[in-house]
Amino acid sequence: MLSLRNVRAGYGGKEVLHGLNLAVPRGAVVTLLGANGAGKSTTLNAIVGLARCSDGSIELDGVPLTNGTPDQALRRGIALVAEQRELFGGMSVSDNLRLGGLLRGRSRAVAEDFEKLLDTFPRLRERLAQPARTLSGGEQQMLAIARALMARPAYLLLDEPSLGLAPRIVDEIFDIIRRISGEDTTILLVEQNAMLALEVADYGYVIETGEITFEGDADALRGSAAVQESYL
Amino acid sequence: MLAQLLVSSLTAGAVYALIALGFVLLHNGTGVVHFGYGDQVTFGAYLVLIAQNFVGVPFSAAIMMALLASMALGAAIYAVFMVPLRNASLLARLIATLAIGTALREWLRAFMGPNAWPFPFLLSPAPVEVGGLMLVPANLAIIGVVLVILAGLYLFFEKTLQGKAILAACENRTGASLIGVRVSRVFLVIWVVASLLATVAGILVAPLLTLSPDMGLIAIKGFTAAVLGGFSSLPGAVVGGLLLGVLEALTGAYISTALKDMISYAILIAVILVRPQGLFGGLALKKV
Ligand SMILES: Nc1ncnc2c1ncn2[C@@H]1O[C@H](COP(=O)(O)OP(=O)(O)O)[C@@H](O)[C@H]1O
Ligand SMILES: [Mg+2]
Repeated sequence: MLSLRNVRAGYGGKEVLHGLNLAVPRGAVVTLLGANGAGKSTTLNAIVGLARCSDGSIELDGVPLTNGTPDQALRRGIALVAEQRELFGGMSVSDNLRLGGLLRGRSRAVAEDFEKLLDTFPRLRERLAQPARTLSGGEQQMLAIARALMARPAYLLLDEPSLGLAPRIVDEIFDIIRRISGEDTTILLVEQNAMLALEVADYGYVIETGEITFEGDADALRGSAAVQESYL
Repeated sequence: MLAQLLVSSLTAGAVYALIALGFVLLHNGTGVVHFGYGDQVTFGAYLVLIAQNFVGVPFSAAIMMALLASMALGAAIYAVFMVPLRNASLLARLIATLAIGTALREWLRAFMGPNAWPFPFLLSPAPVEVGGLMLVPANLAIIGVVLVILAGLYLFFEKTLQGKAILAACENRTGASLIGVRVSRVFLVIWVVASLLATVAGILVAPLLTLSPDMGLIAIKGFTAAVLGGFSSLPGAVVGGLLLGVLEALTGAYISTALKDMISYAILIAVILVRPQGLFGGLALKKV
């Protein structure tokens, strides 16, 4: 269970999250919905240590995670696919993927995962030798997800995977998200596109200016006035 | 004549390449141009002298001690200056590198004297004729050492995941930390490696020049080589170094020996004015 309790967090002196509560049980697909600038990315950033937490606590299975670094979070099994994707643009698709498995060292299992992910993302196999920056937006998003999965994280945090992509590509990516969640990976999915997110999520939160204003299971959220008004 | 010239120019070029590599590594990793790097080159050579004359060990052991001490120096520079300054402005960090260099240089002047010291060659400096070319074993040793280092760095950066992780951290820190790289450790490694390269360059070049506290001016040539190579490419730095060695030798032979040392400044200015991205490739895009 990943839990955030009364988290205040932000950047420098600027507080973005004002006492946020959120829980992601193992095995679940939880979505965090909200308008642009509400603090969705900051929530994910605070979990992995890219945003500073000034109050409250972030815990994984009861052990604090607060104000660590992304590499420490990954060692605990939490991988973030950032909104900016954060690929190594000058490096080949293949190198980007292999680097995703850095912490696991060299093993047969890593090599197998490499092949398996290329089966999941066949577009990447065609581009293995290309520098990552030459990929299309959708391909870059796929590479970012595949790179994160190379670490075999227990928790995958996805920051707006649909952002800026054509509907056909978005469908493709959400099919894959569904598949990943069936394979024992817990997912926290940040989206502006509520309809889409609620198709894959079991449970959801709505965030407005740094606070959770509504939560419930997917059906409750679809029916809620807050979500109806803002997003559907 | 031309063949002879090219062979001889390789020696200088190899040393420039080494210094250029140090500049580029530090710049890629930390965003800083290390203005005290030349003084670290000088300091490295002096470390050998200090170990020989004050610790009293033989030349080979003195070299080992100097290499180890310079690694410690690199780690200390990182821990004492660069960590506290990590959020400081670029200007503050540049001035810090300048100050580190000045401190090393003036310490040498105070404790080792302002005069030049003789420095042993790795192999005999007496030329040997091989197939019409005059080869100097001491110079071949320099080229040999540099080749071994380049091959080692190439294998590390291109063939190992750890090496690629360092390049990845240079390209995108956030991305690297997201895949599990401890970025602070990468910076430490870069400072240690660059300091080691400086000392190797110092040991190689000291017998050719004379070892005085101001020998570090040689680093301007390594800097020029790095600029020629685009200042962000490791292979570019190597090619830039070799090219500068050749251009210098050609200038010295066909134009004037007096111009030989000026040519690197001329090239530096010309490249910055006309082709700031270096001779090779287009402008590198840093991020996706
Ligand atoms: N790196 C940053 N430094 C300072 N402020 C930031 C930074 N990133 C985001 N913000 C601010 O934090 C607020 C929330 O941003 P964010 O979490 O990115 O929202 P969302 O992901 O929901 O669109 C915004 O007002 C934004 O301007
Ligand atoms: Mg966002």
